[in-house]
Amino acid sequence: MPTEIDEPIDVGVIFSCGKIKPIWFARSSRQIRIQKVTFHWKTRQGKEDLIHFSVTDGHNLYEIRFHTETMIWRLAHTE
Amino acid sequence: MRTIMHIDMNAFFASVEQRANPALQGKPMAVIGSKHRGVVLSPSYDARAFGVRTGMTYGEAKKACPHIVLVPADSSKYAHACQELISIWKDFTPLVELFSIDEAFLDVTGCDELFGDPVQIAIQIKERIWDETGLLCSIGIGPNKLLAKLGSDLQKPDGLVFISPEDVEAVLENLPVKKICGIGPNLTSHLRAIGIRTCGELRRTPLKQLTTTFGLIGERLHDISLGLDDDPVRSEEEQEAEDSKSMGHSMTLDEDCSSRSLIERHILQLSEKVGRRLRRGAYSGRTIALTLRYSDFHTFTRQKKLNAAVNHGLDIYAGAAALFQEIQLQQPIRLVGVSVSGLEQNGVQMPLFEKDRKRTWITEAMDEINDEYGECTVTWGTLVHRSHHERIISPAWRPGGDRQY
Repeated sequence: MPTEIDEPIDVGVIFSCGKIKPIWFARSSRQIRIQKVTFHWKTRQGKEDLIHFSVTDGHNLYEIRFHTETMIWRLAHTE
Repeated sequence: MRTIMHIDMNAFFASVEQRANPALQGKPMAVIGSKHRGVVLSPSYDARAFGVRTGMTYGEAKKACPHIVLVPADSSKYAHACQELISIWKDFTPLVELFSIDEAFLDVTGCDELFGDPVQIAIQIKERIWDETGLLCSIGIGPNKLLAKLGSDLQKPDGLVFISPEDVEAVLENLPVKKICGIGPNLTSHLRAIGIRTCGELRRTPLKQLTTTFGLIGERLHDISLGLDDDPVRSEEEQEAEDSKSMGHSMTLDEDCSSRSLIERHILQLSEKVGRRLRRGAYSGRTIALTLRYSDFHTFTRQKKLNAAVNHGLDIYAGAAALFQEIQLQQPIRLVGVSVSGLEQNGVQMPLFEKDRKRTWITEAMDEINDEYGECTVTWGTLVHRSHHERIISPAWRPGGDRQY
């Protein structure tokens, strides 16, 4: 079952051909390398678009979220 | 002659969740409606092998497959996956009619010069869907929507069935009438009562007998028995025009409810949501409908026509609550729905009196705040303890429509 986290994180990404590809994110001073983006989708909160990425480091599954208005990344939950 | 395809995504919600979480792949799992009322919406094929079916309760699913993994539905993921699919389908034809979030009709008449014969087109579509989304689908091809839909139902998962006009009689002869889209349980039992179980038996029943027994539906049944259907594939614009004839919301309650005050609160919450959608599209409507479903699934709708078109949540609530007052509840309530029809655009009269003007200003201010910060950032005090439902995607969802996720 997913464990809700909802904390701000630093994320390394590649912007290419109009797409965002997260490469790593840092949590508790530890850098987690993203092995695969398994799915991504959009939601809307008020006027802000949120882009969600389901990512795996090969062991765990994480959902990270990009807030397009505030340009903030958050770790939504982990499995 | 037309060439119509019906594409049915196999175990769509479950497959999207398996794609998002690879640890679920190859495991019996199912997507359930909510954490509180765990009705199975979409079991994976691994779960189906244990007898898990759509509509089972949490307990029934666990009994059939004790190690099943149950995942609460996340509509925004399915909406996104659906948009990916639509963009693939539109590379083949502009005539794509979304039948539900996981089913669509495509009119590929005349596309053979670009993409090959209908079977080749279907193979290309299946390959692109698999390559780009990792999802499987069943495709039925026929000269109309009725036969295309039937074709996709005949082979699951990953099916491809082509029903040519020459095959129609043989395909339909022993097919149970309940397998046809549009013939539900009630009609099936009425047909059984007069000795009709298969489409072949339906075809041999004189048209006059069918119209005498079923009225106008009798003619439709006769056409079905012959595999005839002239319903066109509607473009996105045509569907949106159709959808905008009414707007409504419904919610399945966390638990069956007999408290009239609680049900009234749900009615207010739904009325507010309907009002927000109406105002967003500058719509208003005169007919208010209230739908209730008892715990035994008996569902009924009451409606009333107002003197003026409305789009304010409280006006909609007043109409729906008045309808509710007239209903003597026979059982606890499972589902509540509110809708407004008879829609017109820009049809609300400008308020003449100070009191009405103030209400309009307050509503506009609330709408602006909720647009900026999200739904119900500002709402009525009564709704502070409203239901916070997992959002279940509605059959009326459209990617470009006003019902957004």
